[in-house]
Amino acid sequence: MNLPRGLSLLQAPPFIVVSGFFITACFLWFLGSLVELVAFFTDRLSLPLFVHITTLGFALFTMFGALFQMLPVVAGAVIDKPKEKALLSWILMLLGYIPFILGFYLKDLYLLLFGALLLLVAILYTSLLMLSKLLKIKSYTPTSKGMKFALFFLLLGAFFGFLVVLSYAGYIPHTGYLLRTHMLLMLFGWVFSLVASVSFQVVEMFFVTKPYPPFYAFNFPYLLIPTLFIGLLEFKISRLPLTVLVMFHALLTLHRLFTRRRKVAEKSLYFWYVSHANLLLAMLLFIFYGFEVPFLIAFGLFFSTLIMGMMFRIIPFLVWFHLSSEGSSHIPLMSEVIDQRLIKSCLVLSILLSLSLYSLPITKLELLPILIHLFLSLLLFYSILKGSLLYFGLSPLYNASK
Amino acid sequence: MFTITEYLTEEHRECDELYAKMEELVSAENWEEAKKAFESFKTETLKHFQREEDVLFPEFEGRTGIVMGPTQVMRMEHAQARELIQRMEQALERRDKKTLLSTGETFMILIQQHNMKEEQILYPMCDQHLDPSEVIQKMEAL
Repeated sequence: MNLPRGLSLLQAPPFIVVSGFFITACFLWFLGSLVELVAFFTDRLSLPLFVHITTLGFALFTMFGALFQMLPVVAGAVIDKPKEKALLSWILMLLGYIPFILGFYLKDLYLLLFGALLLLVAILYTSLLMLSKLLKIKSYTPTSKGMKFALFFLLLGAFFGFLVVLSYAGYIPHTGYLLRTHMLLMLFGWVFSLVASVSFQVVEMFFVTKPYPPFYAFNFPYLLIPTLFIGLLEFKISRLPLTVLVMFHALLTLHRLFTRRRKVAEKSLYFWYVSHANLLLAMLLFIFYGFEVPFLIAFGLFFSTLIMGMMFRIIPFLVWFHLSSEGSSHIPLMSEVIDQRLIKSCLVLSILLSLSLYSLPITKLELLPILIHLFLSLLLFYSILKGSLLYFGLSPLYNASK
Repeated sequence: MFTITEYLTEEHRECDELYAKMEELVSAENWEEAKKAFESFKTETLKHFQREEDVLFPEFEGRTGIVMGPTQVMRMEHAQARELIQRMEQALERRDKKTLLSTGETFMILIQQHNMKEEQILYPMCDQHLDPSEVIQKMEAL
């Protein structure tokens, strides 16, 4: 009989796999905010630099870490030797990210090209590793099916990203078209579809809500694909189908959260609210302006806020779970892993960041969001690092005496 | 006529409702009512575990010959959940709201991922290999 292998958290990879990616993501986001600050004062701040600090340094690292955890636990796709494979993915990602960001900062095309090539290799390796496991699954849930499509779009989006850099260097034409395709695939095909697919499982699980409508959840990738194709075409309402789908998903999620059975409001819930409010606003901006700065800002706020909320839930649970499974003599409560005041501060700073960015056209205070981002990313990094170190300090695997 | 999936999924939902009610009462520090709600939650949850461990899992193992597979993993997660319920009960006796809610949070994440795996994988397998009406009758007899 063909039995699903990843039936429980017991199939989860070692804690260091997930925490390693999460800590790196937070550190890179903080480092990125410092780069933004320096770039602001040296007149080197550019939109691609600003965007990739968050999409690559923060989001992609976090999402890879989360996928290493979720593939076996949620999808039943077990990755053998997860520590070694995650380390290779992490090294490749870092090797690509650093020259890539420096390339944007220094406006050095060859550095950018080198970084883009290494990043493409890193994404190819990690996505194909995960896709090879996902494709072997016999029975899919909406989440595992969505992950499969999201990873496929990531591959495609990364390839188009590389073509964009080639076009910057003058090797190929059609920069505008390539860039639009890259953004569409990465922001909607990858980020949004992964978030939506994961939502199908975690919204119900974390907040005890009604499940998403089964027809919608199971067919989500097939609804997304045509809207992406239409979005690639250039006619007046080509962005409308995608906008409708994304807004429908955001409203469905908010409705489920508002009507959740658990009435006690845990802090991560507010990250979901802020995040999805930003998503709704992003889509309103998208329909009118397309991939312009206002949309990119709102969309960035959507996924970065959500990622923070998820991290504040995942890290404490994993600390508890791994210590509990390892038979540690002291197992902290989830609320003790990360100081609740730190989580609250990050939430407040996230809201302030949104407000400072949205009010930019009136206030013209460009330095303010950069400073808020700096404090927010520093606090987040500190919180995730401290929570993770608690595990390493208590785990019998790392402390022979415990 | 219920399938095993429908029958036991409904029990999961009932336990979720009971937990949510208890959590709300604890949050409002309505300790007397919370104690009653906790008893209902604990009784129903443990009864559900017992139905699976005494009837469903042995039936599944007997029919398929798989004893170290998913049922073993489910038993281990039940043990973790029982321990958390015990810690919640101790916190309730001390009227320690923070510990109770935080332990409850851990319990909910553990049990929700556990439930989803049962509902999406194990129960459909049981429906496929066992006679649902016979198994449900045995579980109800407990």
